Amino acid sequence: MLSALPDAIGILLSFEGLLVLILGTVLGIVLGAMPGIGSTVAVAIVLPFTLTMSQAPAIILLLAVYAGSVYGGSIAAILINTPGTPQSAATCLDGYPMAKRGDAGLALGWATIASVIGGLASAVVLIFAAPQLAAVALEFGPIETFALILLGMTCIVSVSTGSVVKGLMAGMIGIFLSTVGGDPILGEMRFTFDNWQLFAGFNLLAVVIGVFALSEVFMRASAPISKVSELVAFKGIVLPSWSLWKGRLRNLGKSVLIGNVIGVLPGTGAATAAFISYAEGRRSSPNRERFGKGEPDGIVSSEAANNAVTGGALVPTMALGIPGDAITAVMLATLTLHGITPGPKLVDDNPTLIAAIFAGFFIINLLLLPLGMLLSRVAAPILRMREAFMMTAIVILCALGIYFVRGNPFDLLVMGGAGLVGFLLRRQGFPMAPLVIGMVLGPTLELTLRQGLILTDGSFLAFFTGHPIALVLVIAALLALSLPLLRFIRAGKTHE
Amino acid sequence: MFFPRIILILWIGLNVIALLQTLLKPEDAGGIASWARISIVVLAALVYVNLIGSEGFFIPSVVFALICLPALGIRSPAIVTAFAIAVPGALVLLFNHSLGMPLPTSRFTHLF
Repeated sequence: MLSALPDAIGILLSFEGLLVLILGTVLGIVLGAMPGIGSTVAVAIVLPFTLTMSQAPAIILLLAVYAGSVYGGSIAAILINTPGTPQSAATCLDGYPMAKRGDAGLALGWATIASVIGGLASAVVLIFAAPQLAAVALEFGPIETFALILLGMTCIVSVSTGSVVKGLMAGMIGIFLSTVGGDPILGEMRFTFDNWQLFAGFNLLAVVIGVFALSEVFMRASAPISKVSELVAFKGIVLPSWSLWKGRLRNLGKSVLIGNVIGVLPGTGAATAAFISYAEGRRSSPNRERFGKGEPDGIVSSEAANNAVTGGALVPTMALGIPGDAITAVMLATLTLHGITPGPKLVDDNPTLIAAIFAGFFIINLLLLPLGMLLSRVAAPILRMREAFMMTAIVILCALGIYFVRGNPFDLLVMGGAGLVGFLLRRQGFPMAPLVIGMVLGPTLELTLRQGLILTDGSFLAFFTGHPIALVLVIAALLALSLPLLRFIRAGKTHE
Repeated sequence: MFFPRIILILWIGLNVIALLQTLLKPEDAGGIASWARISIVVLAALVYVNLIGSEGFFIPSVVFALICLPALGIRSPAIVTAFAIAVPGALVLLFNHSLGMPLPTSRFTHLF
């Protein structure tokens, strides 16, 4: 991969490369700062426009939106006490009290520095960990790959907010949707009802945009209309001086570590990392009694950890093709839409692309500092914008984006249908990330299962007797699936 | 149909568990703040995406914004009209005339 670095830097320093780095970070910060949009919707809105780009700039644009939006969430959290993204919810706890007492600029300064350091550390983890993990998985045959995908599917359990059963059901719906179209082994058509538009299956992009972005608009339309938030006095970011960091570096280091470790674990996500890091910061900080009243350590704990998750979460996505959360599921879908097969061979097959992604991710995190300082002033008035304008614009942009990709009106219908189904499912407590994970991983799961059955003459048991790695992976998958059950039993006993 | 059948069996099994869970501990999905508002927004969005192919991008987008914004609580006709024309108009100008990536046009004119 190192040999591909000069070519990768060439891509990043080209006009298109620089444009996507800056534009993506700007879009990410602004969209992330808007309460209710969140990282997943931000990435989903931008996704269709990447399909006209070449592979590396497209992925870098989405990474920039992703990292930028995680940081951007802190702007709304600090200035209006409403997290722009769920990852920034912990930042509200100390950021807003600090802003209310007149230190909004300094609060955002702490958040900016912590975000940049957290993001840079996670870029280093991504650069070193992803190729190592991929190298281990490179020797996998169809049976091991099947077991690996099965293990990846179990992350549905951890991304299922609310009911695990509903999460698994949504995952099954996703896998089922992926079976529409041609059979991967026999080539016969399945569930197409002689409609040629379905011969290649449902357009993954249209489904992703529908269930995430459009259903979000419907969900907001079904809730009471929110009032315009009060904005605290803010005159721009003030970076904390070196003397203010005294005694806080340990907390910063610990938060970065927590974010990275949690990020690598599939299905945990930045919001979890931010709250765990905040709790740990509160437990170990000498200023613990000031937590919740505008303590900078609280902001640092939350922001360093949630940005440190970004690179970590990409490690299993890039190296194994297993998404860690809803955002990385969308990223995984993006790789697939660009004709890139995520998984162990990704690093070996596309060294220039991977080097460009890694180097680009590092630069994006560096850009957060100057762009964050510039954009926080611009983003502040946007926070006062009525939700109605944002929601209407999202529907128009989604429709434009979907049509723009293939010029096929049928894709718009799929998006509309997915939006409506997504809304109805979400109303009943079904999470949407498992549906996308199922749809993305479903084809590989089916193909490797059937290839494996051909290799073992139809014996499913032989999958495990002659394949110890597959056996270990399946046991790990079963353990991951049974964890919620154990938790449920333990909760029952405690209740008694 | 081998693989879809496995998925269907697993899905039915999960349905049974979910059904039992609901019977033992019913869940409240939470109320809808305004049925009229959600119905208007959902219907408008579905008709909008359906019309883009035949009526072009600009006209359905303007009509959609004119319906959706008041439904979502924007009361000023001037603001609604300005937004409804400005946002789709800016996108048509950007894509059709600046970037040279044509969006679908209406049956009345090739300009938008």
